[in-house]
Amino acid sequence: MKFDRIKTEWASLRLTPEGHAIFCTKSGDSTSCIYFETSERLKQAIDKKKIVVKNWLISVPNSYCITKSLELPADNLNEASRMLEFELASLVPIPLEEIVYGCTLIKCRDSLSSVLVYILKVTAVEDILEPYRAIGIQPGKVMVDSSALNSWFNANEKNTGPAINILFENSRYTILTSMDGSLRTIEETNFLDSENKRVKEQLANEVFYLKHELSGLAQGQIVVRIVASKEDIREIQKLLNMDSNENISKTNVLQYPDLVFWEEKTECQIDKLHYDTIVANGLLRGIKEPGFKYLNLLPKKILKKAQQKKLLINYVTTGVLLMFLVLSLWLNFVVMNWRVVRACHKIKAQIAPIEHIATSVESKRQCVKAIQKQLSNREQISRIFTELYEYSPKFISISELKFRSRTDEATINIKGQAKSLSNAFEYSDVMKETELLNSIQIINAQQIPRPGGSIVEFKADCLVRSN
Amino acid sequence: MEFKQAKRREKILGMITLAVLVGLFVFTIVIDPQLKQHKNLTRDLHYLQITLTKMKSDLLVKDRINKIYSEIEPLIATSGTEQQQISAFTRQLSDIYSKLNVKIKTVKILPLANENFYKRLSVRIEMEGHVRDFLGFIEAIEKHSNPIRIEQFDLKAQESRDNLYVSMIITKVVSESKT
Repeated sequence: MKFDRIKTEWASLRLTPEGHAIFCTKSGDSTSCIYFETSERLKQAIDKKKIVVKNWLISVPNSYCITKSLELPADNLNEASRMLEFELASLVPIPLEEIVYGCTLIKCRDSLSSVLVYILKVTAVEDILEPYRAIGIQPGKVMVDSSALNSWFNANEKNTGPAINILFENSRYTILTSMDGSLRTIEETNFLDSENKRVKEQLANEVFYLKHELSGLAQGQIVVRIVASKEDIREIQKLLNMDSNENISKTNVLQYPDLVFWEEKTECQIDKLHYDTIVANGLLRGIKEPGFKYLNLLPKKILKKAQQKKLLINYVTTGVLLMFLVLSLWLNFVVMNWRVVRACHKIKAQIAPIEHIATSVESKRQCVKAIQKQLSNREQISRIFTELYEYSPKFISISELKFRSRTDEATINIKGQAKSLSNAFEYSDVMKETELLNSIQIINAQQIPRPGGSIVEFKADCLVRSN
Repeated sequence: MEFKQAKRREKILGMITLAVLVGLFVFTIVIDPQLKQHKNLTRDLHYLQITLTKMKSDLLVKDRINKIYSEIEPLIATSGTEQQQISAFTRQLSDIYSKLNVKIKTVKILPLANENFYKRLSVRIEMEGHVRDFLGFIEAIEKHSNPIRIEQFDLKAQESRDNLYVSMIITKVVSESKT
């Protein structure tokens, strides 16, 4: 089969002891497993960017782990995982710094959580990671084979009650028990091909025992799911049916997942790769399950480093984005200013040829305006004097006159004398008949005693508007 | 106290303060100069637009202005230095008042006002005399062929009713001298 470029966020990988590689990737709801004859072939595909994976998912064999079930006074898996640190000392006699651990939830009832704890030494994890690092892969998550197998069984057949999952291969069988999809126990047995017949009997016995154990723990029909070769299934089913009670159990047969080849003309014994294919497939199916959130057996040092790297990338990304924002803003202003400068130059270019003529015209216009202003209403003072002489009554005499010419008006302040107060105030009425001084207002009048009588001194203001 | 030992709230406040400071720094260094430049350029552009509009309108009335100006040019055309122009102006005034029966008390030359394209000469004259003579002086100024004008006029009666004290500021507009 010929593949195009594969680009994915999560992919699982299984390196077999024989040096083969099984790569699983998810596309929508379906997963596909690809076989590489050697890990070196996979490395080549990665180096050539034919496979681009953001996060790698691997698992450690069950035999490397110490698996313990534990009951903790916690409401959920999050709380239980935090309590676990303090329980580890009682579980394994190894310093905390030398181990890695993770857990999955078995059940949670009445503020009591049962968890399955996986513990293994840091050195063991490092040994497992070594072949992956050799081909340039740093996994983002490390799970356990059993959890991957359980995920695969759950993904293939949903079951809400107790279940016994059996994977039978040429040289080993694995039995997993689960409750509501959560893994409870794991049992793995290796044997030689010659012992096949006897081993199947042993398997049937174990299943019989587990059925009775589960029927005591939970109500409902127990589902037995088997995945094995056709010949083996027939024999196992026959053995299981001997003791089967249909009321307490039913048996379902599952198909092996498909395995395709990266390169054509590849020869391999697929029969020996079923276990690894199922594990790789199950890893990918289990990644989104909330029950596996606290199951990552990567050493703390690596996790911390990965977190720091992620944080650094976030900081750098934010910094770059901010710089881009500032740069954009700056460029925006620069472009805006450039446009204004261009507009200025355009106008200057329009001004240049007419500037000399326009300036000359402007200077002449200003002079004309100034002369017009200078010559307008020049005879105003003469007219004011004429009106004062013609209209002022005989009992009024003017002793002081101030004339101030402004842009389009003139002010006149008058000081004078009258015979009486009434004469003084009548003055403004008399002057109303005039053309220029009709707005004259007496602003102050004061009677001053004099030898032989009195005299009234008054002040008057007038605003003369230009026509 | 090290930053790592600080409480969460203190860390958040510290980060906010730092962010604000960095923001201000960036604004001051990067954005503000551009903003100021933009403000200045926009003002320049606006000024140029007004100038262009004004120049275009000047060109439209060019012929009419030239015609009017050619008529008034002989009235305001002057030559020589400012001092010479002022002397000519005072001479014109003395030609007027010398013919009248007034007593000139002071003739004071006021600071010259330089407008954009012309100058305004100002002289303060204080005099005493009869009202008849002042009216003659005023009339002579008003009818003078040159653009001479009385800007201020103060009149005060003296103790002798026929005698008056008058103070006037007389201005004249002249064009920029052609040197």
